[in-house]
Amino acid sequence: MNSRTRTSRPHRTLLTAGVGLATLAVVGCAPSTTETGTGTAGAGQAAFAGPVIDQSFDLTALVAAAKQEGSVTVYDSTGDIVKVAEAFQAKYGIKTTGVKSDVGDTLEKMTREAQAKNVTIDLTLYENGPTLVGQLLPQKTVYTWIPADLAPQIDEANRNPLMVLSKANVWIYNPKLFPQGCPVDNLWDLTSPEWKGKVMLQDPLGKPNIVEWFNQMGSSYDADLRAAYQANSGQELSTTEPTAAREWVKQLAKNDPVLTSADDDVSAAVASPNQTEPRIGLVSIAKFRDVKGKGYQMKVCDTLKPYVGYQYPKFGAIATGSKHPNAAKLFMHFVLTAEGITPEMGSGGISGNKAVPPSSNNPPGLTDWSTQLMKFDSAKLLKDFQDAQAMQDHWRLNHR
Amino acid sequence: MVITDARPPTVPPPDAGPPRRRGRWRYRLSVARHEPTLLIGLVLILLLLYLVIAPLVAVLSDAVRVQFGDQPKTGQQPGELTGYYLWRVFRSQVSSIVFWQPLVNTLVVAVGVTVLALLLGGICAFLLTRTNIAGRKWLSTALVVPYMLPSWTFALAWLALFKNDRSGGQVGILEARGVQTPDWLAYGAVPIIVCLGLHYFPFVLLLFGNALRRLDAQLEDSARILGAGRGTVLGRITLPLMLPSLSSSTLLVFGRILGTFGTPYVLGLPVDYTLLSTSLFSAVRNHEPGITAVIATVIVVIGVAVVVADARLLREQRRFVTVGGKGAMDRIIELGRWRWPAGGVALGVFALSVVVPVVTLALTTVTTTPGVFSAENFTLKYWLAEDLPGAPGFPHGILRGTELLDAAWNSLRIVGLASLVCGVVGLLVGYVVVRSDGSRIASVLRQVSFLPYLVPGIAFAAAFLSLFAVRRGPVPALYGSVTLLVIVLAVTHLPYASRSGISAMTQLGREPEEAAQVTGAGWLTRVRAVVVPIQRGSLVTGIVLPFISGIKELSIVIMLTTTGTQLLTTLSINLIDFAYDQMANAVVLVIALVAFLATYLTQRLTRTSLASGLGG
Repeated sequence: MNSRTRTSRPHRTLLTAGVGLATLAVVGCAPSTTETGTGTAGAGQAAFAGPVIDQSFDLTALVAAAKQEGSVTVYDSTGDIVKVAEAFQAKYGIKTTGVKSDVGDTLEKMTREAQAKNVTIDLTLYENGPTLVGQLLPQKTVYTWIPADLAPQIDEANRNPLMVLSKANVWIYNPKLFPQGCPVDNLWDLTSPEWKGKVMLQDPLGKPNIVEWFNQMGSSYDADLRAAYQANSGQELSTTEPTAAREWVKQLAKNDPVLTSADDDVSAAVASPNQTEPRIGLVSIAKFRDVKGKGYQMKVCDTLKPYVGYQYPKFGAIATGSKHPNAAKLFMHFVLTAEGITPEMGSGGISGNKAVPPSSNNPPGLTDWSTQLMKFDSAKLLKDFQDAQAMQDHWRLNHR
Repeated sequence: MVITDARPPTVPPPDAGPPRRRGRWRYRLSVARHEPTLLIGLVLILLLLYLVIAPLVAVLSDAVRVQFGDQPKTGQQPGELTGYYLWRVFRSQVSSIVFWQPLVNTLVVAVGVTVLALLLGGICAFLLTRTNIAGRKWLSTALVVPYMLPSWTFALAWLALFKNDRSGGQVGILEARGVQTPDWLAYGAVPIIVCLGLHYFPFVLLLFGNALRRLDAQLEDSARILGAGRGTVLGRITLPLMLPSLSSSTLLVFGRILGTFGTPYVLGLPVDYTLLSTSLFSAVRNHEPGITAVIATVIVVIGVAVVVADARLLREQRRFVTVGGKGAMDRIIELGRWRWPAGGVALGVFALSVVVPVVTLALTTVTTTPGVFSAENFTLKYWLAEDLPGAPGFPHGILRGTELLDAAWNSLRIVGLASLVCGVVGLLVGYVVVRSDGSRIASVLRQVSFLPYLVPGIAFAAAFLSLFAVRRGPVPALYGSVTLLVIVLAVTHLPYASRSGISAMTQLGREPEEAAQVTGAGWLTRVRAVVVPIQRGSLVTGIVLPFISGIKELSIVIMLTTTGTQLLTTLSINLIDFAYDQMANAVVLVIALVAFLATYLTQRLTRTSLASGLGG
């Protein structure tokens, strides 16, 4: 039934073992660059190795070695990965499979594959930073590899783990229903009775990214949030919650928001052509492709203070037990170049490589990523990992 | 009361053999050769222990061991024993949200769906097998179709009709026409019960109809001759005789609800209506293996309680045999002028459970914006277009390219193989359970073979992945292979086959086999020439039910398919991920079509018929 796998097994097992040992050796000898301090954060969390920067890097040699291996499989949470894979295959002639997969499924599969020592996912572009530094890296399921030729173009802060791309979630409104512009100008408005039952977002319990946003908002943007409250109501925020973010989350949860299982339901409810209900929704900027594709009426709520949304990182990591380590490295190199990352920046985005110009396709209303968006701090990923459940519970207990 | 005693009058006790040790062994061996029931039972149990119990233990043990990443919460190291997960699920401040409320909701939904399915299925089974209802032949095929639609079809159709502005996306057709649909009608318990009830009633129809069909009408006739009224016959003869299949159907429906995820998730989320299965799913998705294990354990425990109750019930029924090698005959009730109205009722059930959802779904595949019925909104591009902009992973209509064909071929051969294995093993389980007559082997086998049914697919897949992806002794690593998919599908769908096998064998007396034995037929010959032909119908049920169910299987295979083993369901879910709902729905229609065609062809080839409840 499956003779192909069976006949090649002994050979492959040997190969895997060899490659595995080799990579382990490389990772083990790598200089630890844990400048972010995530290496040995307390509470018994296992440390994870820093990034591997191959000093004797030679692109020509890597290409040759990668071609020898013949194929590579990459998992990503966006469908655009298929286009990236096609571009890579066209350029190097290496059979490339790009698979769109939820971060949760990717995490589970990669963990299991590593345990089974039967790795089919060679590398991943991975959006859930907390589980990356909390589980995948310390368990040595994956490791971080940075091509030496591009290393100077990657900020120190974005190297551990390696940030490939910065993406954004923004609040949107329907310009056909609100020709004057976005009907709200302050994040706290979303918790007011006027917007009860009209704020839409994905269920935070199913979207780690949103919970992480709540946490990052609490750890890095407390002052901004308090100032916004004061600007909105004229008085200082008084709360028993430890952070303004927790207070905002509580109020939002109690304000009967409409929860969905996918972004697409949010954008459809806000912006589909026959929509007449006034709504505000939180979506990925990737949804702006529906403006052209499905005639959606949507715009970034650019008057929203303090921020119109948040930008979050997508990381790159190579499976420790990959059977195609060189092809995986070459692919990683590829997505760090303008050529490789462009298909993923169709609706905007910022490459982890400073030399790559930002996308020219930002959605209408989102003009400046640095001032309009909150930004996740990679140094807090491990804390985010540890705080995730508490924040989920906070949401659960208030949304009932 | 007319009760046939099934016990064979004389089976010589093994101890009565020759005194010498070697002679006794030779005697036992020769008995085993002719009567290898216990031996087969043992082999089956060992196999199932490995394939069912081992994965279960692997998953359930997570409930009391600290999981990686939970060190800060528990203050312990990974792998240590802990009560943290139990505390969190049962006693913490989130326990009512995570567990207690979902438990209550689950019981409400499970009872509701079971009642609805028994009602619809029971009535339809009775009308189709025992009356001359109008359109009988056609209806008996048609009424099984709802089960061939993936269960989320009903949820999607329900939303398309009743959805209000409480959830995202487009509003439903009613709301669009100005009819305000209240939340209780649009989401939560009511629609979940209706949708699942409509999905699962064919199940009852098949099992119940099968048994009803094979019920020897002479038993009823005798009672009538002795002066019993219609009600007495129904209450004291027919129903008791039907109990095994009735309890089987109840159990199967009830058990399935415990693990059903898609429908409750789609229809429950907007109003926070959580069942144990959705709570479990959210634990899986949040990478909380400890919590997952605790909730999965509770689901399994409830399931086991139901199985035990069923076993008790069946113990009472063991003596009832309804096919005794005597000519069974049908008594068709003449409905007279009620013939057409009864047909109308059945047709109405068909319309509700098949026409409405399929048409709704089909409409979405030919419209750009769902629910807008204007000429320029209609299109065939999702089926046929050569180039579709905006769908990076699938840039053409689903009928172009090789993806659909590949996935269909994978589905057919993998699920087909698994169902064949299922059917044969199921009949063997039935044979052993019934023939070894209340022995420990019988009861263990009955329960172990049913267990997979109660384990939520996701938990099972995770366990299989970790247990069988690694080489263990003589078993090679199977991850990414077709073999692993076949095994996992066969194991998880074995309950269908084994229930069908047990309920069929319960009704088959020993006499036909004994007659063959008297003429010198060995065990294999007996099975081949007597048991299988008589049980052909239930054997086909035992293959077709797992097939129909497997072809729609998602939660299990999604974890185990790799890029090379794409199935129809994973293709459909991938399309949903690409936000191509129309194409995803089109694939769902293809799944339904494949399931239907496969069933139809099987019937034609084996000359069995759903018309007789697969009774042959």
